[in-house]
Amino acid sequence: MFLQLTRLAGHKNQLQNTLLTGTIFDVKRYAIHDGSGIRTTIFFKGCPLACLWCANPESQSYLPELTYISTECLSCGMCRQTCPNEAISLVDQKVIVAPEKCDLCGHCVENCPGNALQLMGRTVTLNGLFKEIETDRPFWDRSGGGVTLSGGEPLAQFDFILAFLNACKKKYISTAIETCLYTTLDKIKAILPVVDHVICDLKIMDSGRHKINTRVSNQMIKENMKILLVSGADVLVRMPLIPGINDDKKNLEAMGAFIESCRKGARVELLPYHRLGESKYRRMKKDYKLVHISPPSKEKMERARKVLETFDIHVLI
Amino acid sequence: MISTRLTNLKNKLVDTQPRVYAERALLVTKAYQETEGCEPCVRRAHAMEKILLNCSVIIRENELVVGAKTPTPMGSPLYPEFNSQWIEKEIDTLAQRKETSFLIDEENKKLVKEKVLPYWPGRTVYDRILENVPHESLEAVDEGLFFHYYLNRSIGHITVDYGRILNQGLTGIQTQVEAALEKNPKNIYLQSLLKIISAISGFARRYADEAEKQAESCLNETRRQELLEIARICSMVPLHPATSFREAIQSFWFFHLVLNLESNSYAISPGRFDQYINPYYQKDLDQGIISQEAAQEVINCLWIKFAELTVVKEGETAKASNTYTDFQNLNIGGLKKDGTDGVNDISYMCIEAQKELCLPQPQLSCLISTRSPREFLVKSCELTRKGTGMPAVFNADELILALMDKGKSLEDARCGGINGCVEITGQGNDNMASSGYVNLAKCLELTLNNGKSMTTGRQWGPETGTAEVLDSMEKIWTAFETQIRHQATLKHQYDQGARAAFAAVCPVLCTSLAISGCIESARDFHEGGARYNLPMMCGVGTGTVADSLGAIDWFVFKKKMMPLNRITQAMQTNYATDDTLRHMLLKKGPKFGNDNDEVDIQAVKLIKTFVKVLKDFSNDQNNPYAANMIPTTAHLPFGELTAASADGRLAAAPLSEGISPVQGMDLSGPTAVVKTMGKIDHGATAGTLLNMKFTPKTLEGADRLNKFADLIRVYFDMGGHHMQFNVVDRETLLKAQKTPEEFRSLLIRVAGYSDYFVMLSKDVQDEVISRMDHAM
Ligand code: SF4
Ligand code: SF4
Repeated sequence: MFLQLTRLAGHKNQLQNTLLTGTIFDVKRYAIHDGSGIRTTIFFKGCPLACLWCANPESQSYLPELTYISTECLSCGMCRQTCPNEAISLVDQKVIVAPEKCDLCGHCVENCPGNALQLMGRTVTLNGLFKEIETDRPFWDRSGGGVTLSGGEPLAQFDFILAFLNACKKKYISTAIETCLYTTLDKIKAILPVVDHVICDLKIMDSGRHKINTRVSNQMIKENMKILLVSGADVLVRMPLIPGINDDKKNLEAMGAFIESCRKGARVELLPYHRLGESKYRRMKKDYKLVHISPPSKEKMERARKVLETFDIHVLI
Repeated sequence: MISTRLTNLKNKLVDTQPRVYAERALLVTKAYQETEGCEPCVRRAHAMEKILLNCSVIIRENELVVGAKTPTPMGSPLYPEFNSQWIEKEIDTLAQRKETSFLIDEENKKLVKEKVLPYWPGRTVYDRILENVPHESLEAVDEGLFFHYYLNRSIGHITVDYGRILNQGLTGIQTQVEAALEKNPKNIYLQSLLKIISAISGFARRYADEAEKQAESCLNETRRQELLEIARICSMVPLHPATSFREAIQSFWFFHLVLNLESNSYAISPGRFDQYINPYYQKDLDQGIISQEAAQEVINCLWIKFAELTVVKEGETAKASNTYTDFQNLNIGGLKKDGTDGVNDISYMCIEAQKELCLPQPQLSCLISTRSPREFLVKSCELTRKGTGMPAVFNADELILALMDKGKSLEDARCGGINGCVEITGQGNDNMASSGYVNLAKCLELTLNNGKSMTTGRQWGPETGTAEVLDSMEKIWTAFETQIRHQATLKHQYDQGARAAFAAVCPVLCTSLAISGCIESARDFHEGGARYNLPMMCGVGTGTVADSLGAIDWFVFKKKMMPLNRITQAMQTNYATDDTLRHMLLKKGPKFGNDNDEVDIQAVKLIKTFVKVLKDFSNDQNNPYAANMIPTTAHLPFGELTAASADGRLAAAPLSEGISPVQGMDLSGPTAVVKTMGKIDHGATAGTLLNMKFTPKTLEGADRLNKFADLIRVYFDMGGHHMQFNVVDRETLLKAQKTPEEFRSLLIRVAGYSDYFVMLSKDVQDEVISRMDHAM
């Protein structure tokens, strides 16, 4: 079961007004696949896009979400006993949460011996989050790593991440941000002085197709990327390669030409589409729409690389 | 590329079934019969002489390093003088048992039964031990409180001064013995040492003769030349100082082999191999006598010899130490005596040998210092990536501190190394007498039940209070410490009695020849002749105890969700009537290994307490005991005899191993594990063991491998002692359980050693699988 929060508007307000709290859904330690050194990646919750291939469905909504796996449930009733809002009932040994009564306080989760109830996402204070991740400092220092802000879309929690990046800068901690760039230019400009690496996505060049597959137009994304690449900041452009959606020659060529026009020799990384997130969709009772697509073969990846390499850009796989 | 010679040697080794031979037992029995009434050292010298001058001389096809314990590789002699009783009881079932089975043919069996077994009852070291130790300390084994070494194997964990054998030869040592004799002309111990020296040279001489004989009839000219060279080398060493790399390797092997024929000790370890071999290699290289390739092949041949050695163990021992390997810990890297970097060509060639051959022995240990080149660390990691569970990596800088803390001089500490699984030891000057395991989780069980076992109801410790009285963590800790101290007292009584038995009846003359202090003092290794004597006990169940105390602290005292007796009652009934509680403890309690101070502090305190308690006990040389946090595989039999615990673990389930988190509970990734373990005061112990499992993907490519190397480096920056890794995914292990035939060569790390996965018993396999994968 997956609870869609009803008091969405109220919660959103809270996010904007309280400078120093953010909502995250995971902290991954020993992140070794992205960027230099051993990194600690913070996943912020909420994204303005909704890409069909998204591997983190729990990242899409801005709010914490309560999930329940009935197979893990012991039917012990602890959750019902501890819920302060009487939001929980047990029917046929299974838990049912009344969304209109639940305020996501998390008491039931804390007391669930089966770990059947889980809260996806939690609110963190600036200090709290900083303390939590700073414990990894020896690994960053040794390996030249640092913190990566990812998501979801970290820039959607702009005030919080700006403060967070500043705090890191003060402490000589190297930072990176992974962003879809669907945001306003002033925000990009504001973070640039305090972030060391930017990793941004370019998915589809055609605006209409972009909208069909990600819910939004790519106009703003392209504008931001141009400015970013022109600025000389440390940027890595990522392209997820999704067979049948963006791996056609025309799209690849358009992407290559666009990036080259912004910065000659720009670094571009091709990421093969994968389906590892599929089970999470099931857990969250969401539909996985790309069931018919399989990950691209090595040959397909190489073919895409070849197309991109006809431009003056540096392609990594 | 591995040569045909090595491929053949390896195939033969891997294809041979472990087998028991009667020859040594027959010779030793005969020798003892001939020396009734003589001094123990005289009897021992006679027995060794009998063995060395009469055992079969075995040169296998195409090998370059010669000398073998038994006609087939992976064969074990019997050592009835230590304990013949178990042989009598188990000889008929050796081939069928679950743990490390051995074949024995009817003829050998008959010889043992008729010619060996009748002589020994009442005469073995074991009989002596039984006279010496309190009965209660033996009953405590059945309770799962202890596991004792020495009952059927000799005191072990020996690293002799191989360098001295190579540099001075036996002739040099003979001069020293003679000098000592001049001062003390009637000393029979020293006289016995002289006898042993000539027996060892005689043994090598027999190999020279055999090689010559084989050369005569050899039709292949290349091999004929090889045999002649072997004959020449064997006629020189170990009697004379080695003059070349080949001689050094052969001299080393002869002496190592002799030690293995002398006793069935645990962990006769080569120690700092690269340090004493490298000078010979460099000299030959400079003079153009040997090429790197040729030297590598010799080392590879030696690797095969290491892998050939095994010892048949008594059944219970086989459970606690469930492996064919015999803990020959070979150290590379580390520092030199003057504090400079010790990594050399031989260090890398040892890594290469293991990379090429993937054998379970020797146990390769890389001693990594801040002064080691990065190349050494990264090459160690490349070997780790091969997934053979090797090497184990050690923090050379912490090792030095730990050794100095145990009384070694700075220079001796720098020359020190690792023995057994992870135990710190001096080189050729130390009797690092590890005496077995103490079940700390069981001690906690006693604490939570007023000194009584929850499984048998027997009162094993003082009455330190019922759950109703233990109303704070401080009180629980006070009671716990009392219980640990009480059990350590009992264990100590056992140790003292057992060591006295060895000192009285079973001197180890060959060992003593190459341990500094023994000749000078004319005292045997077992009598405290070594320059250093460091007694130690191993504590088992750190993670289980930490999670148990962490859960009690959290649920009972911090959150006040339940009284302590709800937990203790549930433990008594194995959570039969309170499954909800068990899930709560298991899934919602704070877990050791996730960089959570709340619970990590319990492990830190446990180790600190164990170290402190043990310091109050000492051996006959007045050396305080050191604590060692390793289980080998004792966490499984201990687990079987331990009631359910407060962390939600069910009765009879395995305990945690080493200082590793409870299996599958390290959910925050490897950096969190490292941070957790960094809180422990490793230098105060005599060794801690940390096992981690990674999926192969995590180490793919140079970039990730470097990050993995950094992870190790950080652990050592924080003062960690040791890490070892299994790089294999769960699916592979599950598949190997189903179709063992296809996975015969799959090596994995169990405790302080690697072993073939399919050779392990099912419960050890399951336990390995249940450890957490660190995947991406
Ligand atoms: S507390 Fe957890 S296990 Fe118990 S009934 Fe509620 S959801 Fe199920
Ligand atoms: S999150 Fe809080 S309000 Fe919602 S069901 Fe759980 S306990 Fe009740």
